[in-house]
This record gives sequence, structure tokens and C-alpha cells, in this order.
Amino acid sequence: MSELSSLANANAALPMTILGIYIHGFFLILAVGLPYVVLIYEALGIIRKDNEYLEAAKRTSVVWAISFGFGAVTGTLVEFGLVQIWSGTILAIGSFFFIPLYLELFAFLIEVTFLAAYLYTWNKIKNPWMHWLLGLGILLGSNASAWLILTVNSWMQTPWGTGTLVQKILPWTPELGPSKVNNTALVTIYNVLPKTGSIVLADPKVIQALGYLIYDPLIVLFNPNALATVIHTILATIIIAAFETASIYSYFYLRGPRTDLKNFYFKAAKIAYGVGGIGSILMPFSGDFMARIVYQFQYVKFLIMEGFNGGKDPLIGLLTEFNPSYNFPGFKDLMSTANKSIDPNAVIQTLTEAQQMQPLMTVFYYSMVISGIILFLFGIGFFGLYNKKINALVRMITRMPTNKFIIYSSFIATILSIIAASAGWAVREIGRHPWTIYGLVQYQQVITPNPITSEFSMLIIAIELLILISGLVALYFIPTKSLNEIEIVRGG
Amino acid sequence: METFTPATWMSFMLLGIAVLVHVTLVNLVLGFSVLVPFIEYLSYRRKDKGLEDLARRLFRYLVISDLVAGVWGTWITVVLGGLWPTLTYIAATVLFIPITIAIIGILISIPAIAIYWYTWNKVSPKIHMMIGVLMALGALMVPAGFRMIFSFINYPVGLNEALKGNLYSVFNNPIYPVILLKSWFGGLTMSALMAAGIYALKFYRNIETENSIKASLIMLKMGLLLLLIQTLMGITYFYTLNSYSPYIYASIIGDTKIAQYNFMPLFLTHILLVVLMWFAALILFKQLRDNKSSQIFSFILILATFFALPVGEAMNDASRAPYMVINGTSGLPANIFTNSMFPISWSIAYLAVIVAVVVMAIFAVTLYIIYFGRTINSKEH
Repeated sequence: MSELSSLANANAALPMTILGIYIHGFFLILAVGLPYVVLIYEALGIIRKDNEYLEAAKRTSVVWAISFGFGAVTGTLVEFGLVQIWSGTILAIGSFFFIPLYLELFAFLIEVTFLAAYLYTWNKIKNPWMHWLLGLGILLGSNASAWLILTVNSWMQTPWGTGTLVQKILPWTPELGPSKVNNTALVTIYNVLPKTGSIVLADPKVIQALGYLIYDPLIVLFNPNALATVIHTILATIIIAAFETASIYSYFYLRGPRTDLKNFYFKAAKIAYGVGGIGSILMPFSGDFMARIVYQFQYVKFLIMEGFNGGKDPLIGLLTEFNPSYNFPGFKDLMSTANKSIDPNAVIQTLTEAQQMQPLMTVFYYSMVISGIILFLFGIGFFGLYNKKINALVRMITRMPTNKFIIYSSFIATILSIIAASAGWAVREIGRHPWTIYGLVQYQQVITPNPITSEFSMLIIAIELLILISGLVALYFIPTKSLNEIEIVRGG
Repeated sequence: METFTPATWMSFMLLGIAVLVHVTLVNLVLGFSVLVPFIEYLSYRRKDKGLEDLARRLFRYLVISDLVAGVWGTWITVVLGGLWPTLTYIAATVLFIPITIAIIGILISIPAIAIYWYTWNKVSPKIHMMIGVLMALGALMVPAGFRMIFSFINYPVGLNEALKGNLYSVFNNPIYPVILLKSWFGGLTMSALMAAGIYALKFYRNIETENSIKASLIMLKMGLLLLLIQTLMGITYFYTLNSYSPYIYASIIGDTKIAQYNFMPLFLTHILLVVLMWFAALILFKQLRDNKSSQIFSFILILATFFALPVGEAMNDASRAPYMVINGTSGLPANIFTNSMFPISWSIAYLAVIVAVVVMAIFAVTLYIIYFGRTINSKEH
């Protein structure tokens, strides 16, 4: 397969891959973020001996089973996509990704074991804290799972443990940790894959001839990009899950004529909103940490997401270098480093494509930032429930008291948090284009040699959408049914 | 004589354990995905509300089995991709069409299960049964795809043609139709007889007596018919191996002149379990018709049915050792397919396998408490 047809094949596979990952992410957000909300409900219920909080925890936890089930299914889809469509990634799965992926299996098992135990043992364990601890097991399992998968993704952004290897190809890249890889083997792969495509891996002698690709596979776990990514992403899942929960209870608060249940719905919405609000207040700190990592290790991505072309920018200079008159290198300066690279074409290609992507990336990036700022303000507004000055401020701006503001703004907060997360992930993934593993492997080099036809692509997309719709239907009907039961139980 | 390296041993063990657990559970998924809509169809045809109730009850087993089977499917994918990189690449490339069929099967099956559940009594019976047919079709497609991998490594047909672009050439494999039919009927038999055993036990323990005896008898009738077909398929498969995969055949019958290892004990265990299934199923059938049941025969039926399949699978898969792909009376050693991209010592290999086994054991115990402890000893309404 020629390099050109590999590129066409890879581009044909991109839409179904992107859609599949986003659908997977949609369900995982609830699996990772929702345990925080449920455990806070349950802890409040136990501490204050308040059955309404316990009821909120029980009703909300039914969503776990759905999000876990659909997360597992779409996860299988993503895995198969990786192995079957992007089959050349097998080189990375068998080396750099192996440790996090293997550990993730245990995290997944822990999550499913505790999930089944938690859902089954409601009101069946004498000590309520023991039941709460089972929920904590789910939280640890799902969050460990997220940590390990994000570690894999982070390695694709910043191949930690490759020392100065990437720098030799893209000279602006700093040293990526101590060198724990076989440079000769990786350079061979770098030179051979573009010519042969991934089909060369069908010969067992090829992988054996390469020898070890990595001497210390644990190094992947110590990637600074992974640390920033995990904090940033898990915080985002908490915010989305919390605001979604708040909006569902707000919907029931507004919908029903049952005044005796309004207190329950408001209490549940208030706590979930508080979790989302506190998360939104913390988000700028984690976002700053993430942006500093991008600035340090993925300078080109930093330029395109900021819509910046180098030179002087007092605000960016102050935030990154603590020097408002700092002179940042721009695309032209970076282009001039091509002669220092062992592959000048890679430098030219990376920078040219980055510049083409810049307008789109800037839109995504600022959608995320603006959504984040509004959510931050919503988070501050939440404290109007406890502070008269903030309450007065909320009243002045929105012409409603804080409790009413919480109910109505929960719907906007849900939408904004989803926009922020989707745009943020788009920035992350498009920002390393055209590289699958930054500076080492491009996406068209790992595509299957089998042709990806448009019919095949459409079929997979149709099925992915069917899964999404089924999941959404389940996510609507099961919690709704569960909440309607409360009205029946309480004699409605 | 081929020997195992630490990487090969670890890869063999981890893959073997995950495949055994996964295949056992997906057989229940397959079986119930077909049996549930079929029983629902019978209920409408005979206007028998009790049968619809049974379909609903069996559907619970399907959902739980599918949830857990999915976890082990992930294990297999990671172990294959991580520890068998070349084999996985070849399979994903050469067997692109069959694997796509399997994936589409998974993708149809899961939403169909969800839609089937939520639309019960909310749409017309015809539409609901059509959704059930879709659910069954999805479940049947999964082994239709994945069993090609097993056929291919038993008898690699169509490798060169597929690498040149003729991806359909792999379907000329003579082992494939036999192994596929055996898988389909295996799943159906296992599900029917497991359910029969569980309901016979419930009847014995006086739990929902009327429903339990009816459910057990229906499942036994179906199960015995399916077991007959499955026994015939097993014999056919045995002779197919003799013709096309003589190394595996030699391993199974203990011919150590050809095979390096003797798996005759596993073969005999498998036969013993099948005999026990026949024996227990027939006795229970007679007892239930006389309005009686037996705890011991219910347990024998449940356990023999549950273990017959993994023992058969273990026999099939392990009998390739030390080869991974069989070619007549020899094969391609597993060593050439396993991971050589990072150092794996014996201590790492042992640690990885021991940790995996311990965690799986904890998982299995929890599952038993939740799954069987709940379904056997409690009412289902």
C-alpha cells in the first residue's frame, strides 16, 4: 500500500474512530464522575441520619449500571478499532502501552466487582459505612481505570522515556525524561513504516528482529503530562456528572405539582450543584497546570490553541515565563530549525498542518475557556446559599434568589460543561496532528492495509449512533422511572 | 522439542484463563439471546402467559452474563494485543471480514438487549419479537466471526490470498462450519440445561413451585434435544480435527508420537461431564413429570453443564501447545508470536499470572454470592 493510499485509508477511518471515542467518553464521564456525587449523598445521609440523602444516593446510583454497561460495550468497540483498524498500533500496545493497559484490567475488575456488590447490598448491610466503602471501591476502580487509560493517551502526546529522540526529529521538543528506549529500533520503525505501511508487521521476524523497544516499561507511568491530564480530566468528569445530576433533580423539582417532594428534589439538586460548582472553581488551577505542561512539552499545540503566532504577548508572557516582554518563537522561527532535524520534511509537515488547523483549534480552545469561566462564576454563585453578599450579587445579576438560580442554571451548566469537555478533548487530539505518537509515528502509518470503504464506515457510524441512542434512552428512562417510584411510594 | 520462554508461558496462561472464563459466559449470552425470544414467540402462539413470564426470568440471566462476559472480553483483547502482537496483527488483517462480523454482532446485540428490555409490553408483540430476532441475530454473529480465529489457527486456510487482498478466502476453511455449529448449539444447550437445573433446584426448595416446575420442564425438553444435536456435533468435530488438524487430534487422544503433550485426561473429563449431563437431565425430566425433584441431580446438572464447556475449550486450546498455529502434524511455535518488545523474566511471568488468578478468584466468589446466591434462593418478583 502506497503512502498516499494509506493516507486516504486513514482519513476514511477517522470519522468512525472519532465518533466511537466520543460516545465511549460520554458514558465514561458518568462512570468516573458520578461516584463522587453518590458517595457525598450517602455520606450526608449517614452523618445527618437523613433518609432523603440516602434515597438520592440510591436513586442516582442506578445510573452507574447503565453507564458502566454502555461504557464497557463502547470500550470494546474502541479497543477493536485500535487493534483492527489502526492495527499498526500493536507495536505500541505490546511495548509502551502494555503496563497501563494490563493494570487497567484489574481496575476494571475492581470496578465491576464493587459495582455489583454496591447495587445489590443497599439496605442489606447493618453498618451503613461498610456499604459506603463498597461505593468507594467503585470510585477507586473507575478512577484508576481513567488514570491508566489517560496515561496511555498522554504517552501518545508526550512520549516520556524517549530522552532526546523526538528532539532529533522535531527540534523544539524538550528532552522527554531519561532515555529508556531502544533508539536504534525506534529510528528503524520511523524510517520503515512510512515506506511499507503496517503490513510489514505481519511477518513475525520483523518484531523479533527489532529486539526490545523499551527497557523499562514502567517509565510510561511517570509522565508529567499524564499527571496533569488525569487531574484535569477527572475533575471535568466530576463537574459534568454533578451538573447533569443537578439538572435531572431540578427538572423533577420544576415538573411536579407535589409540593411535599420539592424539598427532596431541591436538596438533591443543591448538593450535586455544589459538587459541580466546587469542581468548576478548582478547574482553572488544573487548567493552568495542563496548559503549562502543553507549553513545556507541546509548544506547537500551545501556539495553535492560543491563536498565537509567537512574538510578544504581555499576558501569555506573564503567565508562562513571568515576563510580559518575553519574545516567544513563532512558526517561522520553528521552521528555521528544520535543518537541525534528521527529517526536515517532518518539521515542515508538522508546522504547515498546525498552521492550517489553528483557526479551528482556537475556536475549540476558547469555547472551552469561555464555558469554564461561566461555570466558575456559577460555582461562586452557589455560595449565595450560605453568604448574604453573594446572594445579593446573584439577585442583582439574575433577578432571582440563589436557590432559584441553582435550579434554572443547572441546565445551562450541564450544556456548558459538555461543551467545555468536548472542545477540550478536540484540542488535545487535533493538537498533535499528524502524529499518532508525537514526533515518532504518524496516523496513516498505523492504518490497516485493508481498504476502509465508505459503506463500511457508514455502517459502523450507524451502529455507533444506535448505541448512543439506546444509551440515552436508558439514561432517561431508568432514572426517571426510579424517581417516579418515589412519588408512588410516598402516596402520590 | 519446543520449549516455553517466560514471555510465551505468561502469554499462554493469561490468554488461556481469560478465554476460558469469557467463552463460558458468552455461551450463556448466546444461548439466552436465542432462547428468550423463542420462548416469547411460543408464549404468544400458545397464548400462555406463563411462558412469557419464563422469558422475562431468563432475560435476567442474559443481562448479568453479558455484563460480566464483557469484562473478560476486554481482558482477551488486551492480552492478545499486548502479549501476542504479531498474531493479533495477522488475525486483524487476514481475518478482517470475520472479525468485523463479530464486532457488528456485539454492536447489534447490546443495544438490542437494552431495547428489548425497555419495549417489553410497550410495543406490539410482533415488533417486540422482531427486536428479539435482532438480539438473537447479533448474538449468533459474534461466534460466527470469532470462531474463524480458532478455525484459522487450527488449519490456516487462505492466508496468502487474504494478504493479497482476497479477504473472503478464509471462509473456505472446512473446520469453520463445524466449529461454528458446535459453538451455537453449545451455547443453546448450556443455557437451557443450566436454567433447567436452577429451576429444578428452586422447585425442590419450594420456591415459586408452580412456575419453577413448568420452567424446568420446558428447559429440559429443549435442553435434551439440543444436547442430542450437540453430542452429534462433538463427534463430527472430533473427526474433522483428525482430517484437518491432526496435531490437535493426537494431543487429545494422547498420541505422544506426534503431539508433545498428552491431553487425554481432559478429553475423558469432558466426556464424563457430558455423560453426567445426559444422566442428570434424563433423571430430572422423569422426576419432574412425576411432580418431584432432586437436589443432588439438580446440582449435578448445573455443575456438569457449567464445566463441560470450559473443559472442552481448555482441551481444544491447550492441545495446540507448544504451537500456536497448527499445520498438519506440526505448527508454528507460540514463541515466534509472543511479545519480544520488552524484557519479561520468569519472576515477572509468575507474578503476572498469580496476581491475575487471585483477582479472578475474588471476582468469581463475589459473582457467585451475588448471582447464584440471589437467583437460587430467592423469588424473582
